[in-house]
Amino acid sequence: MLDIERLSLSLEQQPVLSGITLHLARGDIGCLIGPSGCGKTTLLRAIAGFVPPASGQIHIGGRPVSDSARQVPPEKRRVGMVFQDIALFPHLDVAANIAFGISHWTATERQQRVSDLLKLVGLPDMGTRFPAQLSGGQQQRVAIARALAPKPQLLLLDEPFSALDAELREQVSRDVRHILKQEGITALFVTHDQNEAFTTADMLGVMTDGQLVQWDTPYRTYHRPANRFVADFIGRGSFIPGTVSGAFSVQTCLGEFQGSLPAGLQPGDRADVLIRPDDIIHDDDSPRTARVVDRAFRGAHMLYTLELEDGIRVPCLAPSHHAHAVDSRIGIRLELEHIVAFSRDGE
Amino acid sequence: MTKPRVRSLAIWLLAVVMASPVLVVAASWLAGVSGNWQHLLDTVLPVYLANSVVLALGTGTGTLLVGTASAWAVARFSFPGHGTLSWALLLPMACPAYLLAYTWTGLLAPEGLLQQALALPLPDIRSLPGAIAMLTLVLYPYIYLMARSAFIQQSAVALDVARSLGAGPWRRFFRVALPLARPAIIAGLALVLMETLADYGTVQYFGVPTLSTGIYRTWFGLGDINAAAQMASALLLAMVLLLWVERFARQRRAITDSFAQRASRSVISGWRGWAVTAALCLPVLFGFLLPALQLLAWSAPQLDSALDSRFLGLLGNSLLIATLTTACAVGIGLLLIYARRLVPDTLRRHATRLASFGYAVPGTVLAVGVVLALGSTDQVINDVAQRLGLPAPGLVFSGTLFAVVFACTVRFLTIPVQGLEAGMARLSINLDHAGRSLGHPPLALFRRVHLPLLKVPLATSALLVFVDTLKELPATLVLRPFDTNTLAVRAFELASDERLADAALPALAILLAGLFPVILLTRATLQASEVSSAATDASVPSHA
Repeated sequence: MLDIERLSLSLEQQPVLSGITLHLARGDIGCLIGPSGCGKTTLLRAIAGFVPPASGQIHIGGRPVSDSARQVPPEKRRVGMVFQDIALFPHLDVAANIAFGISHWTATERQQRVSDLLKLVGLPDMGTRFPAQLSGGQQQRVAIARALAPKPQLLLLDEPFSALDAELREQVSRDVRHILKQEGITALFVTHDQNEAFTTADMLGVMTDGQLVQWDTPYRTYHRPANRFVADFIGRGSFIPGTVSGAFSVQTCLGEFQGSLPAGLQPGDRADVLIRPDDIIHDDDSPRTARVVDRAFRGAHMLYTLELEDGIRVPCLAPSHHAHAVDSRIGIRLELEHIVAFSRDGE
Repeated sequence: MTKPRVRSLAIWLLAVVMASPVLVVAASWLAGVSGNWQHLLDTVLPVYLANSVVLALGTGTGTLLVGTASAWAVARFSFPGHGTLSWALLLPMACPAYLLAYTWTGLLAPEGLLQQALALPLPDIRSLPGAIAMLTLVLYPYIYLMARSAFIQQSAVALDVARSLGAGPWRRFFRVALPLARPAIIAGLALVLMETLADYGTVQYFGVPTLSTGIYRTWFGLGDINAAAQMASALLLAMVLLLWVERFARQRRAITDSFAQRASRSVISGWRGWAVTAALCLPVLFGFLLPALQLLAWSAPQLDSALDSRFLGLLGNSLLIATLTTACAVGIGLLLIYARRLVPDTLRRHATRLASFGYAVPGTVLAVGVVLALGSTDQVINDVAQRLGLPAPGLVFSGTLFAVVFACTVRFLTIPVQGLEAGMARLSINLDHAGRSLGHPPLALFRRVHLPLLKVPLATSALLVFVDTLKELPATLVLRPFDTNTLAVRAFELASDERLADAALPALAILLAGLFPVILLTRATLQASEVSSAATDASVPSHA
């Protein structure tokens, strides 16, 4: 539904996006994540047609909307957009906001569509309210209804939940995923909140410095990060040093791990192995122990920071009834289903 | 890519036309310095300069005191008559300074009402301090308006924090509220100073020679329009400085806009409340009520002649010029601002600056520039017509109402430009993006989103342009077609001939006409404050 090929873009002579390529299938929800200033919002704006790319192509629903020959203006792209600051028209009531993009429909069609959408977003009786009379979560749902009204081919959401407070954010993002899936909407959204990305996205794009470094399922970006940046950025974890000991193994202070290694790593090379908090299992019976450096109570879980020999620190997620004091030593065991390792030098 | 280019070019062309009177005045130095300059330097120029400086300092101080104090009182406190005073304080805007000048001259004359009633040795109003008083009375509303909205928009939190830290009301005002509102107040002050330096009618009537009146003396007395234009450029320089100050202050004003929680007013009751009421009544009394009463008293005997065709002719001319100017200025202002909204590049930003520079141009300076610019345009047209063997069209631009409307549009264009600019800046750019992605091309978006959301700044700027054009004297005086008189010109001519009572009727008409927009303004701000506050609340500043 959305195909982007080698898209590059500069703003005021500064390169902002370079060589972005991604494909989003019909009905899928994609999510762009990355540190602030990485260009994710600009990419969204380029897809919507608010900033012209320097090179590359964008196709929406198989139709070219942006290439070297032409730029389809935003109003002709059939792309819905939901904004961080919500941007409901303050002078129009909720129904008029939703009907804004379908003013060329007949009155009956329009009313039908508005009331369907209000039901869809769970605000059936709010049509005559004004945006200022709604809560933040309600406003955001109206904004989504407004964007969906003209039945866009693609919905773009720019940090849609960042104006909401934490509890509401999770609720609304789940609701939104439900709505999008129910309607079969293809959507691409931008966030800096990983949980939001994990719960909502079918495809996750990790961006840094104007480049899309990985475009993959959330599961794979977590478990199969394409490079050290993705491994660092997605989820918690830390690297422990090791030495490549075979074609499929790395020797570390926590033992030898088996798995596929990145190309180019030769036995004897130094490598870093990614350890996720859930890779380290707290086991009081284990002979291997580590010192507790810090702990954070997370309700159901306790997130420990442990120090191994050589001062290497690793995270460990344990059931929260296993309360151990800082500086005590606890038993641990490693359960690595697969190994993620990167060469220590370079990359 | 080419379409926006073509449009940018058109915008620039418009901007250059709007700036042409200024450019012509600045270009007057190219013609060299005439012998009259030595004479001017030796005789009158130092006096003009000194008077202008003292006038600006005095009026600046006066308007700051009256405008800020009244704004603070209205924004922060409740007292008897609060609702009435909050709009009544705007009333003096309806009265041009030169009308006030001649009315007060009558009030304070030996046979005048006040002199008779008080039997005190009253000061001679026809002096420099008198001019300062007159200008202060009519110009303080600029600061009042700016400061009041700044005070109202200030967050309650900042003041509450100060309070929790033990700051009393005075300290809260001087250490928190005033610094927060300072950019707005300075912007208002810059406008006041520009108006003061531009004033022609008051100082001319009081016989205080300033730079502004000196330009006409040089033009018509010495018959040297080029020397007049050169003198005008000196005045322009001062204006550029003030304009720069105003711009700078305005840019810093945004800091107060992001707070949602507004402070509530505290109640002043008892004699203190009445004292505040009485104090706030003074500027309204002196700047509007007393002069209006005097004008009524003078014109009462001639009311039967009010409906004669001569008077209606004056009225019609004035309303026509004001309406046309308002339409032109607001239309061009919208065009410039929306063009910039669509393509916010430096090219268009500079075009807007250039086009709205006219506010810095005093009426007298503008008249010189318009005569020079339109005069040569007419000459070219007639030359072309002659070559083509067509009948010469005559002075189609410089000899018709066009010259007056053009001059007033150039002079007042900055009002809608700045008003709409500020209003537009308050609207999240994502409103535009939402509208575009919902299938609305720029023009439809403008009609359905920007226009309704800009109602307040539109109404405000239209009102200000209308009133200012009605009151405009020096440019209209020189540029009007010779058989066309306006209320302002006629009132000024009669007053200058010491026919104070005869001047009262047209003067009263200016006052009354000026009143309607003041009422409209009050209503528009009341009604629209809901919508606009909703707009500011809904648009959280974007961090993306």
